[in-house]
Amino acid sequence: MTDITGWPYESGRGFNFRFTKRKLIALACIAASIAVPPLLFRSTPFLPSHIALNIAVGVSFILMALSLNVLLGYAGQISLGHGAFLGVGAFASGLLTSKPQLPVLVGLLVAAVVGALFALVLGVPALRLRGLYLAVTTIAFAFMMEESLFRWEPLTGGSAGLELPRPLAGTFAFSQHADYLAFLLVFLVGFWLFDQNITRTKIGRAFNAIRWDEKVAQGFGVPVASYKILAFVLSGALAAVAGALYGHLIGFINSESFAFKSQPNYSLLLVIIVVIGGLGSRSGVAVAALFYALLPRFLEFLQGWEMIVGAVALIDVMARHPGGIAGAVRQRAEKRGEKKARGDLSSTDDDELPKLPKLPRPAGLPERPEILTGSALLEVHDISVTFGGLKAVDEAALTVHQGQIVGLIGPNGAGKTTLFNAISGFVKPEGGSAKFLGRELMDLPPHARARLGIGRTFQQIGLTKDLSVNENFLLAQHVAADYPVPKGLLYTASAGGSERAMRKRATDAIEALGFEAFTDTPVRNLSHGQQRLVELGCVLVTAPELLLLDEPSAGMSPAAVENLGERLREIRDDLGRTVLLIEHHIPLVLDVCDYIYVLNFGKVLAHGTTEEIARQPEVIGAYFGEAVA
Amino acid sequence: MGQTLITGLATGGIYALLAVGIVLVFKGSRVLNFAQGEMGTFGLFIAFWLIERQNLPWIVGALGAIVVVAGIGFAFERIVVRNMGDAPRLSVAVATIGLLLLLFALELKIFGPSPQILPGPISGLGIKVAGFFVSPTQILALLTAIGLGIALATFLKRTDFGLGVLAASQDPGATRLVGVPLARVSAFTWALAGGVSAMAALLIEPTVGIFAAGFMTGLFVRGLAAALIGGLTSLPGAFVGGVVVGIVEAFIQQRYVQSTFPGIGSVAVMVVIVLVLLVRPQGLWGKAAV
Amino acid sequence: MGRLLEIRGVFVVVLLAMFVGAACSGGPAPSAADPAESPGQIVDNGDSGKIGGGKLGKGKGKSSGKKGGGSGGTSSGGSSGGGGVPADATDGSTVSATGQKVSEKQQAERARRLAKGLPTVNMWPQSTAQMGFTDDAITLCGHAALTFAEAFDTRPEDINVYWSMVNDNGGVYGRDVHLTIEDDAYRPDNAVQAAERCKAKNPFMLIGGIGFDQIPAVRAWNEQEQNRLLYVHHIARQDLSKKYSFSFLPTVEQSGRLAARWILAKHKSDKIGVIWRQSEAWEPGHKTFLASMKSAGKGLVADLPVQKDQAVYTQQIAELKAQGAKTVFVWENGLAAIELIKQAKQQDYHPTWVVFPFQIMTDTLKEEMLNPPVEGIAMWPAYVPGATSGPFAPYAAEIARYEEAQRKYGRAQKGNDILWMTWLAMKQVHQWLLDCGPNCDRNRMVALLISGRHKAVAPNCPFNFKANQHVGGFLGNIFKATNVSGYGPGWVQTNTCVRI
Repeated sequence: MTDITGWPYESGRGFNFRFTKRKLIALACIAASIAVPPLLFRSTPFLPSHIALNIAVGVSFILMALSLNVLLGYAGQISLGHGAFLGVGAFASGLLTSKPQLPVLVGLLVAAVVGALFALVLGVPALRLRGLYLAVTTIAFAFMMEESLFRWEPLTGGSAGLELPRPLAGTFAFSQHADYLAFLLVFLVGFWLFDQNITRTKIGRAFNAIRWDEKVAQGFGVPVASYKILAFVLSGALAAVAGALYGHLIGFINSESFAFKSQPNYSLLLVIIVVIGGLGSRSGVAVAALFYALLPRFLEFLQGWEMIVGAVALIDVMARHPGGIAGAVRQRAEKRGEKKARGDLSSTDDDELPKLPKLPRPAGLPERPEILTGSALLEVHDISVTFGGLKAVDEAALTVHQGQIVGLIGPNGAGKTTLFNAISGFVKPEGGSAKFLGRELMDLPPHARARLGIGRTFQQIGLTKDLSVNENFLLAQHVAADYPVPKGLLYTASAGGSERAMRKRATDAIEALGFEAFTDTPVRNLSHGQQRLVELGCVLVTAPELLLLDEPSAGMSPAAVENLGERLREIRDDLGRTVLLIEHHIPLVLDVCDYIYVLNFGKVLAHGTTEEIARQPEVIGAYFGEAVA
Repeated sequence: MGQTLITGLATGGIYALLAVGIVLVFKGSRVLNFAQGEMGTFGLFIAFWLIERQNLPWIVGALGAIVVVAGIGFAFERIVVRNMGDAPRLSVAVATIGLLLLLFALELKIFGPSPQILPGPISGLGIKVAGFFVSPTQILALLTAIGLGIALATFLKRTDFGLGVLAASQDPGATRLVGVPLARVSAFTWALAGGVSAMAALLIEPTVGIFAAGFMTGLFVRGLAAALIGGLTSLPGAFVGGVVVGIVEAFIQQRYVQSTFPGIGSVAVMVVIVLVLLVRPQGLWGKAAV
Repeated sequence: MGRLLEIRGVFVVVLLAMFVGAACSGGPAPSAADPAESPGQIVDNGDSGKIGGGKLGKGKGKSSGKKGGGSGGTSSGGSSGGGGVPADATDGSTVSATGQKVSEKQQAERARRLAKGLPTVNMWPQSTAQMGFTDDAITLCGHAALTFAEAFDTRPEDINVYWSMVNDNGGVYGRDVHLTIEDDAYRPDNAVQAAERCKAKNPFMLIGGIGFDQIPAVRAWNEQEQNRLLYVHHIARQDLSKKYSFSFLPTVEQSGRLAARWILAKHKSDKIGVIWRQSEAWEPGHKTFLASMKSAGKGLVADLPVQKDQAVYTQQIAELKAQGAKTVFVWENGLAAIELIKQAKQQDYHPTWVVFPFQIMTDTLKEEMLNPPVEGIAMWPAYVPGATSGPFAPYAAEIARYEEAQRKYGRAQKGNDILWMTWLAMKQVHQWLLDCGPNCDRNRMVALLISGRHKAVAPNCPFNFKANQHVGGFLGNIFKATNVSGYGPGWVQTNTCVRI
């Protein structure tokens, strides 16, 4: 029944055409960066060097904003004190390059490391803090730096600051602004490529999932804590380098350069740039950063106004986004997707749900023990969950055997979803155990349980709704992305190969669903039924052994529910999976389930085969008041 | 030792005043108002303009400042907070960051970056306590903090409107159903918080002497620490928190007064903030929060 | 949302348009150097080794009432200027640095005499040595904390009063002197950017205003520039490696030493405390203060570091009180001193403060400055608006000239000590330009300094560049806060041009 062989996907051998093309473009950009500014500014008497200086400041702002974008725009972690990282990087580089006169590149490297370390220090408490408290912590951190470390005279020169010299290549000094602008642009290309590597690998997708809903991320096997720290570390390192580059441009940094009271307040200005201009996209962030850097410098009458406009815009953006910062920072270009989907959306017919795809188990997943048909896949004993005095789940126990569809029914508030959450790991029960394939789940964090082969759907649809269908399918394959993060950041051949395999799988899955037209549509633009299908497809794409489905039929028409029933049977019969199903739709339950558990007040009141339960209409009727069809 | 204690109490009074404003808004709208400090600074500029430029008496300038800042709080609530209804509280907090930036930018635009000097209402020495003088304005600040704290606590618990404020912070939906005029409650809270902020700024400035845009930023962070310690929803907690922060800071600063490592007191305050958030986010008195 | 994308697109277009517009709008005004060269480069004509005179080229012959014709006078020694600049003085009259009406020809003759036997200075190649010094104008640019302009009641228009007066009276060898000030926001990183903006104007001289932290930054920046400016600045810490920077005033180190000497002279029996700002640029003064105290065998009871903009000095005051310090040296700026003294008064603590004496302190704290009188160490002569008798009498005429010029040319129409300091500094620069002559260039300006031929103009204290080629100051004044009749508490000079 089970099919363990995976698709044969190409290994990283050989050149991928896209990789080469990207390399060429990158090289061309680097060449242009090196050549154009010096030519432009040296040969023309009409371009005074302070224009090169202003543009270089603009490029520095872009680098700074990109660093915050990784943390806030992608991972949704609010940082109101990013100026601290800018300062850390600038001072670290300054310390090494001013008196010891080490090369600037060494200073930048050390700045990156120091920035990463400080971000690590901030990231660890950040794991336990959400939203508002995280924001307060980042401000406290920035203040601590500002009032203490940055003022320490032996380290930073106090109010006199440190001198940050221009780089030296042999005897050639980058003292001309145009030359340093070239230097900066090369770094910009580097930052851009790095950022691209984040967004086109599992790293960026994981960040976006975390931003949208951590449970969804966990459900797809993303280790949320590790990735949050990763986001902080990457952002901190990039910010430190950006701050150092800016410092070397200006030449002097002191304790007030990145302080809260100074003009500009970099911490908050970057938040404005990322939230308003960024909208989650690299280029948006870049344009907004340039706007803020250049407009007041070139148009003097605008000085001061750009902050007023920015502040008002920030208030406005926040006010218009009920989805909060998660929604505010990322709204993709929907026009294109909307147009495409519109024709299809209008003729949405939930009755006609396409078939679910057959997806064999992909390679690259941890080995699972041989599973005998009929053996106990999931064994739950004595799980109790208490919420503030109320026992939501009371010593519940159930067993799911391989190859079954087991139904979990009960009235609203019976504790069904809570039980699911206990099994998934989103809620901590008091005592009890849940064994999956003989492994105790209670020792594992939620993402590890997912990696074992448990797939989960959610009542509110467990997808990252502002990402496209395709990206959700890629996200869902997180456990199959078997390259380590550093290789992903560098987009090595093995990472590339893994990504290509996942893309192929995603494309196949979308085709099987018949949703090619929706490939780039954000999920939230689909109808509820379509979202549900995408969700099911995503859950299946890594071929988990056990599916926990939470009210999959909610919001569907009767005909669609019947269709769903067929799909569920296919999952059991053709794909050989096991399903544990929370449902309110009794006919569906009686139709597809092999075994039923009845839950109320957190307790398992009755359980048995479908026939046994069906023979007790009082059980069902008492709770649902319906006669059995 | 006694002297440090007195210093701590004196500054603690100021922090408590700021904390009261923060807690007030949090109780009323469950929002952390990051602009709490800057609103006060803006009030200082208004007072400066009235007193130094228009040559009005101090009390007129002070009242004008309080009224204007209360108006800013009111306006912000009506235009922004009201319309954000059920939005996540973090979003509203970021909107208050926008308000902070707006006030900062307006101060710079209208008054310029130059620091200004605003003389205080009462001069002369204050009371001598344990060999240390507490200036009249510091005493005033302490008394105002206490008085305000008590008055507000009484008001909130004993009057219908006040109970409405409390209810609104716990469950806006239910409160609306019960018929409490939520709009008025919320507006009142924000206006009051603005007024308190202006009061705090007016009372602190004479002690320091010189102010500029961003003057209250450091004080705001300490007020925030105080509010967190006491629990963001507890007014007496805010007061106690202020005193705690003031005393801790004073002792640490006194211990390390010769040290060339700067800002040890600040570091201590920040560490306190982080510890409270990690260990007991609801503070000593508050209820489980965000 | 789509609208925002469109707006983003508009921004990009606007940015590009601005860039193109800025590019096409032309660079700075053509300098005295060959316009084909871009200002940032040093072009070696191969003449840089040439010493000695030789006739200068004819002037460009712009006709205006002021200009005469004639071939240029030459100067022996020193490098000659580039072409295109009239070398002779006009027949007109001008005002001298001491305020008399003199004829330009007389001044030019004097300059010629001074130029004989000047040492050779080749710091600037001929092509750029006269940058900022043209037929019609001498361009000066300075960086200063305009951020504090309102607090100190000094607006840029007021700062330019001296040159307005000079230009009104005939200019310098027929040229108008244009001075602009760029704001450095009292921070070193902003100071460097202000210096950049100044550099874009191709100034003859870059002037650095008050700022211990800012000046070293600008000095370092200047030294790295390809076309280094002649940088003349206010008090800063010693750094002889910066060859293109000059100061008529003593250094930070010397200031600390002066304070120590004064305190040892007048308050030796008191317990001494010092409050000092943590900054690499201020630290040398703190060090010399401590060293002087130590070598005199006098220990300190309190040695307390503070931060820039600390604003609250409660702990420091408590410590000073606890240690019983009766004289306290405040090694911080004027605004910080105001806060400190005020807060100390509130604690009933009244030591003798020794500070940098600014008028804003006496204006703000008034009687609180008098019990006991605060003392000041200053590198400029004392000034109280309208006071011309008693200690002010020796330079009362200059005060009168200054106040009259403020009324006539200044926006504020009244004087204060910062503007007074600026006046005196510009006066010194005026004398320097006059000493240099109608075909002045920067090499000669420096040569005049290091040869000792350029002298201080009263009431500035004498300076001496022969020993230390970059720092000429070695004398300071002592002030005391006193009640000045007709004004109120103000700074009065008690010791003049004391050797440090």
